[in-house]
Amino acid sequence: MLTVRGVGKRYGGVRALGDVSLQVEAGEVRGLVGENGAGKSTLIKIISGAEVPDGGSVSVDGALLHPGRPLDALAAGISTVYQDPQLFGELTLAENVFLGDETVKNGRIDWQSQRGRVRALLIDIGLNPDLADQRVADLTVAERQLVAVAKALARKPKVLILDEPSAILSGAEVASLFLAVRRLRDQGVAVIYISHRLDELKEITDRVTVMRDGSIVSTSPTQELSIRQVAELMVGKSLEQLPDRRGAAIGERVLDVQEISRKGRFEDVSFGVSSGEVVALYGLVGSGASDIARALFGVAPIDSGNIFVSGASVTVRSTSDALSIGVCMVPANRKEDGIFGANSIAFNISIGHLDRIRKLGWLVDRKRERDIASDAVRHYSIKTPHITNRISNLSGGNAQKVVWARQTMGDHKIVILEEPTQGVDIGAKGEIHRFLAQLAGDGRAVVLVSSDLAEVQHVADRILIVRSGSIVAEFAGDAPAAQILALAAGDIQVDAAADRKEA
Amino acid sequence: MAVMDISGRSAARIRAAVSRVDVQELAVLGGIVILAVALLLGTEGFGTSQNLSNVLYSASVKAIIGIGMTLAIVSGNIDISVGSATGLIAAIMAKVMLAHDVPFVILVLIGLVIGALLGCVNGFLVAVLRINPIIATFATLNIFAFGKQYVFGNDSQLLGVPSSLRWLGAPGQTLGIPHAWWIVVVLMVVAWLYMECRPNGRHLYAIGNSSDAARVAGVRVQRRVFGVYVVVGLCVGLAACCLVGSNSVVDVSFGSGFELDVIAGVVIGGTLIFGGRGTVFGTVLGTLLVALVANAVILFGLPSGLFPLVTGIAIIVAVMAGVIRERRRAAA
Amino acid sequence: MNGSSVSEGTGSPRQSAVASRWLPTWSTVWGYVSTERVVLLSAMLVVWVVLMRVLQASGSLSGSYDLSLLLSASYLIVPVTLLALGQMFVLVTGKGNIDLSAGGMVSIGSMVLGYTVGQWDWPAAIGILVAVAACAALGALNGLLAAHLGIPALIATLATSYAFTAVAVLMSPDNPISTPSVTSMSSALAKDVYVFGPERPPVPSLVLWLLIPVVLLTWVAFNRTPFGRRLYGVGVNDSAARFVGIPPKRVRFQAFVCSGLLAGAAAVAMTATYATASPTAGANLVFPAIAVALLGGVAFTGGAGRVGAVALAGVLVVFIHSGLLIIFDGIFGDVYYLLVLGLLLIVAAILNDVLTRRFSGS
Repeated sequence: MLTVRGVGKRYGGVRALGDVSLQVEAGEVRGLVGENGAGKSTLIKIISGAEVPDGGSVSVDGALLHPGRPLDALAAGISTVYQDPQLFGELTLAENVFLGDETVKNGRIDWQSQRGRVRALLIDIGLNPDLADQRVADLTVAERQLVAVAKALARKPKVLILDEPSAILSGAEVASLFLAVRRLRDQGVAVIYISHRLDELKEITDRVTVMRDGSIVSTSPTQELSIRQVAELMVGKSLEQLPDRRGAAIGERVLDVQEISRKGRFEDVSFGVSSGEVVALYGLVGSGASDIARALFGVAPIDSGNIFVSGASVTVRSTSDALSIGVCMVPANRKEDGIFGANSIAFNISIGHLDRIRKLGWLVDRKRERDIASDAVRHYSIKTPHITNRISNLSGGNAQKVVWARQTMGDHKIVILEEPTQGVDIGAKGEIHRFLAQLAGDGRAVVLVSSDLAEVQHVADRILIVRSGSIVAEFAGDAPAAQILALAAGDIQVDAAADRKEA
Repeated sequence: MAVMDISGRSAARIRAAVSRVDVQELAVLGGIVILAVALLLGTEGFGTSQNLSNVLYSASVKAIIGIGMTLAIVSGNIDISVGSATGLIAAIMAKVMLAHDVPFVILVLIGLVIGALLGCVNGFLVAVLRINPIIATFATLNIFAFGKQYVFGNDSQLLGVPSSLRWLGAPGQTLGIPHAWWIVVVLMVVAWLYMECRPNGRHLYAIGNSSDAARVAGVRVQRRVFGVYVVVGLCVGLAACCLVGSNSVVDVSFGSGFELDVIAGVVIGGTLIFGGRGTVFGTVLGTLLVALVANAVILFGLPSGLFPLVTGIAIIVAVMAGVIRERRRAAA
Repeated sequence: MNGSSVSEGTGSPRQSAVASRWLPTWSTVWGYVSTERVVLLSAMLVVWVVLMRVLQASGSLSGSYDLSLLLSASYLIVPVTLLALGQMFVLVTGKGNIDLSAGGMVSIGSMVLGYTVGQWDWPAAIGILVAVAACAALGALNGLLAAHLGIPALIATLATSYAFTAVAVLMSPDNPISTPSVTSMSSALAKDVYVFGPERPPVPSLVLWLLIPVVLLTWVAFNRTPFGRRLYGVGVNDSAARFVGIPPKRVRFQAFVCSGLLAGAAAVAMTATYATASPTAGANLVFPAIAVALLGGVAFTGGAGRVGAVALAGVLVVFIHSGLLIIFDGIFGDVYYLLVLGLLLIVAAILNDVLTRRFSGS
């Protein structure tokens, strides 16, 4: 039995978790849902010892755990399967499962017994036992996900946490997964199942806990809730009202995307965006929405299909291509893709516009650089004592504004925004939404990729729902939130069934 | 009954490992055979037992170091100080042998101990101080070179070194095969067993794949990496003993340039330069091929300066092959 | 060095395109010294000179450590600092980029100069241009292998280092080329200049007409050109660089070409200094060059380093070298030089890593 009491966590100025308490019984499958930023990952990291909480405690069967020690949590019987399993491609499946925990006999690894156990495990999960001797790098992505599950199971855990286990699995593979989960439940393991797929949660879980904005909003038996109700609990209140720009001038078609595909990521995606319009690509984790955005910006180009900008066919194979045809993009993960951490704000802004600050062809016009940076700081209300301040000293929100300023500066007709308010505090979030509205007001065509439903409803004129690499539906910006979420999370039929239940 | 069980298990394991023999290793084996045949038919000097044992001998010195280097590269590290370390140990041993009459076993022990100490220095810099292995071993390359020069003093050669280590040197042969080569084979088997059958050996591959993931999985990364450098040091010590055993003159240029040939042998033998993949078997084959090429250069009367050029090109080709294979795998 | 690093409250915020800038909040002397590399190097220089004077006073030196010794040893600054700046171009771009083949490039450059000027009697200016162009081409080869083909720079340049040296040896006739044309070129380029007056020790002219202009040009390149910004950008975060339309591969390739150009300049310096074109002209230059670069604050992980600090590190290393030559007899000065450089390299590597981690916000 897992008991979590009063756990909280802040990252810088942002409260990720606030006084969360939770109890999962042995032999129970507990679903854990919430939008991105609701605090699920932080909670899981604290339970598994990957993060130290600011306060509160975690205990298994009454025994308190040391905070922040993953090996302690493992020893206490908490096994976690993350979305991005860290496997060793060059080693075999069997070796991966037992790495760090090998069975040794006569000073040598007891391959025979390890293989036997792995084969049994694989059969349990519904995988071909002969895969035990295969190099993990040669397995499919879905198989690798199941390997991670096998690895967690090999330690005979008391608590098993599965983080979005089915995101990349197909129907049959999901069935195998469920079989394994049910077997575990019957053996008395406490299972925490995190997923956005509300239809799957309905099927496999006993109780569902909904999180929102760092707190637990409700815990109820699964059969008492409809998918629509869960979705409504997840979404909650909306943000501050923006001036109503619906009905604002929407001009010519600027971007036309026809049947673009990228192997393994998205297939036959078509849509269009006009100037002054904000089109959202809304999808959950792994939906492919991000990949579509990155393809349009040339980071990971398309395999087939056509892209038209203002009617002219274009090829985008690199970011310089994209920039030269009028597409700019604000990336999601600013630490990895946006920030030059060791450098000043002025550097971070000018590095994207070196052509503007040229003097005599070869040199840099430093006055112009300072002016551009000061203008940006003023315009976007970036809180910093001076523009020579190192960007790593800024808060997440202000650093995001710097990246925003740089990436959207110029007269690019098409602006792609990828999770623009990820890891940003509420105040800066509002400001960034205002900047977004401004971009559209200036006549630019905005493509917003976001998994934040409230944000999408707040700013978008049209919402395109992306699931498993395709666009499955289109809504106007003012469609009901829960309906959108349900569609993004489950099958079309679910929606109809839920409607019938209400009636 | 128990004996049969154990052999059943290891037979199964060996069968599995043999079936995983790499395309590249086979290609190198093929290359060796082709080159040997070409030399046999194309030159007069190749087939003599003197020449063959010389080739085997010069290959074994580099192969001994190569076995240690394989462990290092598989775990994602590297040691470019092996050349000057070899020279340093050779110099120290020569001085010792000139000053005292030391029995064979003690001499070998001295070589191994000094090698291990040098390895500890590298291990400390890389595993404990977390300095990048390239920079760290580049620094020790020069520090060990300093040591070598210091031992030599004002002489550029140490003359009249007694032949107590002859058993390990070029003249030490049985059935026409140098003892050094036997040692290579034994070391290769031991190292191979370690990397295949001991948990700590498998952990090296994990560290080479991703040292962060390995740490999370409970592997004691720091200890393994430190140990790897000590092993390289031990191999270097042994190789130095073999070198000293071949000559009565120990020159200041001993060991210089070794790192290139050793690394060439390792990457040609199929070990990925990024780590995570490779076997000592491949390294021994690769080193043998490199030694054959050196022999070819001499036998065909080509300028000796050609050899480092060819080795350099061979390294680039071998690493490129690895890079291409990895890219193809990643795209799949 | 003045204390103008304090930037708060002044009317014009200083241009800050480079890493390793410290913040106004660092008030302790230790903080100042450890983060401003120029200050640390100056302190080390002072300590060294004081140490030498003390040793001199106690009679342990075989010569006197004074300006004339330093100036006569200063010819060594030229090739080492030129190559150190070449390493800086490559190291700044990050991802483990390094150029171990610089010595080999210098050797080939020297041979090219030997053939063009020494044997074929071309005008010195043309010969120099051809030699520098040849080295740039070699740099391009390195760039192709390491930046475009994806071979780790260590291995690629280790291999090319041996390949280039072998080519230089293969190119050379049985004896080093020191024909009259070479000697006359050398005396034109590498004479001593009595800057401080006829009674005072002279300065090698190479320092004046080659080293100082190249250092200034490199400084301009890194700090005042878009190219320099791209170099730092790619080194700090090459993924973010891609997002602003800067192709990391191309920038890294260009860095290797710059290393080649500087190796070419060093080849000219070596040939002129010794009045001989030799296939071993570049031997023993790469190690001091890398040590100087790291001492100058250039981190192996990229994105950091300032030209002024690297130049000052070059001065420091030459000061140390000439001091060691009179502390130890005979060739031992050069031998201990290896030890000292090795230790300095290790200390510099650690310090650079600590600073990079602290200032990249992780």
